[in-house]
Amino acid sequence: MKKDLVFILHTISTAVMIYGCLLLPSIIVSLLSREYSVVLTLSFIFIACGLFGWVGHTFFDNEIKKVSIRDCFMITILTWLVIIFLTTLPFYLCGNGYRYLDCLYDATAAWTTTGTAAIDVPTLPNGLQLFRSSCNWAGGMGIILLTLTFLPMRQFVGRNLAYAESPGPGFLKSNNTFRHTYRNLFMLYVSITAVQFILLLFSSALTPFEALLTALSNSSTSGLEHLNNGDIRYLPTYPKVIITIFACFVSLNVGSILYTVKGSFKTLFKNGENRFALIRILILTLIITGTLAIEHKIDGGILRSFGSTLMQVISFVSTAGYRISDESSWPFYSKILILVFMLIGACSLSTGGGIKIARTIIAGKTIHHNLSHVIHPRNVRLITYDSTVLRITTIQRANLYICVYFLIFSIGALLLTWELDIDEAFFMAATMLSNIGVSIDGPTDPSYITNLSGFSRLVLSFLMLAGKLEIYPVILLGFRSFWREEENA
Amino acid sequence: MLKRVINFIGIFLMLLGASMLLPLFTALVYGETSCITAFLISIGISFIPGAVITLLCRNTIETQPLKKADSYFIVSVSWILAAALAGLPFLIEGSITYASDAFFEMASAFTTTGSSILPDVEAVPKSLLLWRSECQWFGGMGIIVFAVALFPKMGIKAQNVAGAETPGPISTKLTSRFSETAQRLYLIYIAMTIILIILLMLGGVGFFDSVNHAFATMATGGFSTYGDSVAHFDSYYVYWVLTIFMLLAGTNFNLFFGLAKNPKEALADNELHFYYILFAVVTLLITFNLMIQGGYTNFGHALTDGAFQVSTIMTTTGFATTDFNLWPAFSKMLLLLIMIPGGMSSSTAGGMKCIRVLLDFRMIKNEVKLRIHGKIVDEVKYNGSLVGFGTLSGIVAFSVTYFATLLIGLILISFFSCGDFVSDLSAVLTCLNNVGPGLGEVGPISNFSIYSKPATMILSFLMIAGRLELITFFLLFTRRYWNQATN
Repeated sequence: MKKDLVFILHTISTAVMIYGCLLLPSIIVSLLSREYSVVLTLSFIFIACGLFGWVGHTFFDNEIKKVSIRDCFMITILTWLVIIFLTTLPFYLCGNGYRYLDCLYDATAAWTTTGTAAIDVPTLPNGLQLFRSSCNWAGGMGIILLTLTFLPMRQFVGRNLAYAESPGPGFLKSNNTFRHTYRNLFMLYVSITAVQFILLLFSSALTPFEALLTALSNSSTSGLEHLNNGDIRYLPTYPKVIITIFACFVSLNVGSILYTVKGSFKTLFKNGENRFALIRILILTLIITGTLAIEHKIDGGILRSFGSTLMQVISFVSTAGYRISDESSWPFYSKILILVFMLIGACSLSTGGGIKIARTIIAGKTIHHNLSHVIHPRNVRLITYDSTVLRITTIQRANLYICVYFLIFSIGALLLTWELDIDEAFFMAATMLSNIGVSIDGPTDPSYITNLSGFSRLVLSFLMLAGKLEIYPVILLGFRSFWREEENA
Repeated sequence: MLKRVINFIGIFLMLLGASMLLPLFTALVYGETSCITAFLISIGISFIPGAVITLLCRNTIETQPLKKADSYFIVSVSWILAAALAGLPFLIEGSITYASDAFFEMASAFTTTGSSILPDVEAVPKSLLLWRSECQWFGGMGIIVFAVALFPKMGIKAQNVAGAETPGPISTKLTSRFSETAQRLYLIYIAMTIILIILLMLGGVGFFDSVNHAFATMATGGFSTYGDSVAHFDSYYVYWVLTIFMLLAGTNFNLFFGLAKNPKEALADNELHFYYILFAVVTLLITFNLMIQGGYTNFGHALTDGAFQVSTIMTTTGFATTDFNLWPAFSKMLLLLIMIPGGMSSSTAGGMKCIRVLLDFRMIKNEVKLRIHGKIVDEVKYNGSLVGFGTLSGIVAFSVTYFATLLIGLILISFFSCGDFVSDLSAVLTCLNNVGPGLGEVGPISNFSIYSKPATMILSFLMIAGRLELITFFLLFTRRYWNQATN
C-alpha cells in the first residue's frame, strides 16, 4: 500500500482509539448511575473502537519522513467526519428513539463546540451527558491536536497536521519545539478546566457532576446545553460569574502566554488581539447599559444591569453561546453590533470561532495602508502586527479568508432561506459558522431545531463544521484533484 | 495645483448649469411655470460662479499632471456639489421640502442608484422628472468623462481624474488619448440610448416616458415616471426589451469596441462569461423557486418576472415589474446577494463588479490548490494571461474594504433604524451598490421617506462612496490626505 495512505489510516486509527478512551469515563459514570443499557451500548462501542483503532494504529505503521500538505488536509477532514459519525452512535443506539439526523446534528455541535442541540440534553442519561461534554472538551482542543500530543511524531509532520486543522492567521513563532509547545498548550487547557471545576464545586446550585460538565463544556466555549438547554438565567450569581470569567478568558489569545519568553499573565494584555477583544466587550456593554438607562428600562440598579449585560455580551462574542441574561430589551443597534462581533469571533489560538480578531486587525491595517498608498504612492510602508513585520502573502491569505468566510456565510444563509425568513437565516448562519449556537433573541429550546427540515439541519451542521475547521478543509472535498493521488508529490 | 483643481470644478459647474437647459425646455413645452422659474434660478446659481471660477484660473491647463490624490479630490467634491446643486430646482419649485431629502434624491440620481424619497412620483412636474433621469444618464457614464469628451484639452494628463470616475481594476486603454476614448464611449452610449427610445416607442410607450426610461436604463439608474415603476406598462415586449438593454448597459463598454476590431477575443472575455452565466443561473433558480414556493403557475410569467428582476438588480438598475417584496424568502435572498457582484467593470452598473468577484473566486480556488499540491503555485489567470500579484492584492484589499463599508454602514443605519433588520440591511446594500429598491419597508413599491434625516445622509454618502469605488471617496475623510494637500 502507498505510504501516504498508510499514514492517513494510521492517524485516523489513532484518533479512533483516543475517541474510544473518551468513552471510558462515561461508562464508569453510567455504571455508578445504574444506567445499564447505556453501559452496554457504550462498552460495545468502546471495545469496537478500541480494537479497530489499536489494530489500525499498529498495522499501519508510522514510518514516514515527510507528509504532503494534501495528506494533512485529507487526514483532518476524514478524521473529523469519522469521529463525528462515530459520535452519533451512542446517542442513536441508547434507546431513547432519537432520529438519526438529530444525533448527527448533536454530534457535530458537540465536536465543533457550538452551543446548540437537537436533543433535550438534560434528559439524557448521565453517561451520555458526560460523553457529550467530553467531546466538547476534546473538540475545543482539536481532535488532531489531541492525537498529536499523545503520539511521538516528527516535528515537521506534526506541525503541518496541526496547521491543517486550525491554521489561524499563521504568523506566530515559538521558541520551543512543536511538540513541546502543544504539550504545554494541552497542560494549560487541562489546568484551566481543573481550576474552573474546583471553583464551581463551591456553588450549591450545581451538583458536582454538573460542575464537571460545566467545566468541560465552558473551557471549550461550547455553551452549556446540559444546564436547562443552555438557558442559565436561573443560576445564582456566583456560578454565573465563574462561568463568565472562564468563557471570556478562554476566548482570548491564550496561546500568547506560551509564546513569550517569560510566559506570564501580563503578556495577555500586551497582545493586540486581547486588547481588541476586551475593549469591544466593554464598549458594547457600556452602549447597551447606557441606552437602557436613558430609556428607563432598568429595574434593579445600573450596576446589576451592567453586570448582566456584560455576561450576555461575553457569552456571544467569546463564541460560547448560552443565555445568561435577558437580552430582549436591548436596543436594536446593539443586536447588529453583536452580529458583526459574532462574525469576527474570538482571538486566534483560543477555543473560540469566527473570522478571528487577528485577521480583522490585519484587514483594518490593509485598508489603512491602501488609503495611505494612494496619497503617497512612492512610500513603502510595511504592515506590522504586534511589532512583527507581516509578509505580503500572510496579509493576502488573511484577507482572502475573510472573503471566503463571507462567501460560505452567504451561501449558508441562502440555503436556509428555503425554510426560514431572511433575518432568521442570516443570524442562524452567523451563529453556526462562528460556533456560537444561540441566536440573538433566539430560542434555546431543542424543539426549534428538531422542527426544522432535514435539509436545514444538514446546512446548519455543515456551517458548524466549516467554521470550526476554518473552511478550506471542507471545501477541499468538492475538488476532484483532492481525491486523485497520482498528481500529488 | 490648487488652481487647476478649482479650474476643473469651475468647468464642471458650468456643465451642470448647461445641462439644465433641457429640462428648462421641457418645462416650456409643458407650460410648467413654477419649474421654469426654478430652473432659471438654478442655472444661474450653477453657471455663473462656474464661469467666474474658470475664467479666474484659466491659465493652468498646460502645467504639471494632477496627482492621483488630487484627482480623487476633484471627483469626490464634484459629485457632492452636483448632488447638492442639482436638488435646487426641486427645492425651489417645492416638490421636495428638505435639503437633506433633495440631496438624497439627486445623489441617488447621479450615482444611478434610483432610490427615491418622493412619496408620489406622478404628482411631480414632468420637467423635474426629466431632470432626474437626465442626471442619471450623465452619472452613468460619468460627468467628468463627459467633460473630457467635450473639452479634449482638459484631458491632458487628466487621465487620472476620469480614471477615478470609471469603475474597474483592469483598464484597457482604447486609444492613446483619453479624450478620444471618452468620445467613443459617449458615442456608443448615445447611440444605444436612441435605439432604446425608438424600440420603446414601437412598443407603445409615449415619447416622454420612453426618453425618461431610456435614460434611466442605459445609466442602470432606475428612476421611473410612475409609482409602480415599469409594471405600469404591463407589456411583455417592454419587459424583455428593457431586460436586454439593462444587461447591455451592464456589459463592459470596451467590449463593444472589441466586437468591431476582434470579435473572437471580445466574446471570449472571462468577465463576460461570468456575468451572463451568473445572470442565467440566478434567473433559473428564482424562476423555479417562484413556481415551487411563490405561487406562480405559469412558467413564462415566472421566467419573465424572474429574468427582469434579476437583470434589473444585478445591473443595479432598480426597476420593478412586480412587488418582489411578496416573493418567497429564497428569491429575495438571491436578489440581495446578486446586488453584491453587480455588473461588469467599465459599464454603468454598480456593485463590486463581476471581475473582482470572479478573480476573488479564482484566488480562493488557488488557495485550495495550494493545499492540495503544496507547492507555491500562485497562479491566477485572466483572459489567458497571468494576473500580477499587485493587482490581486488590490482586488482583495478592495473586497475587504467593501465588506467593512457594508458592515459599518449597517451599524450606522441601525442607530436610526426603521425597526426592521431586513429593511436596514437591504437599504444599506441597495445604496452602496447603487441598485435602488430594497426589501421590507423600502421595497419596490415603497420609498425611502421612512428614514430620518441622519439616516438619509448616511445612505447618500454610501451611494456616492459605492459609485466612486470607495477609496476615492474615503480619501476625503483621512487626516493624512489633508496634511499632504495643504503642504
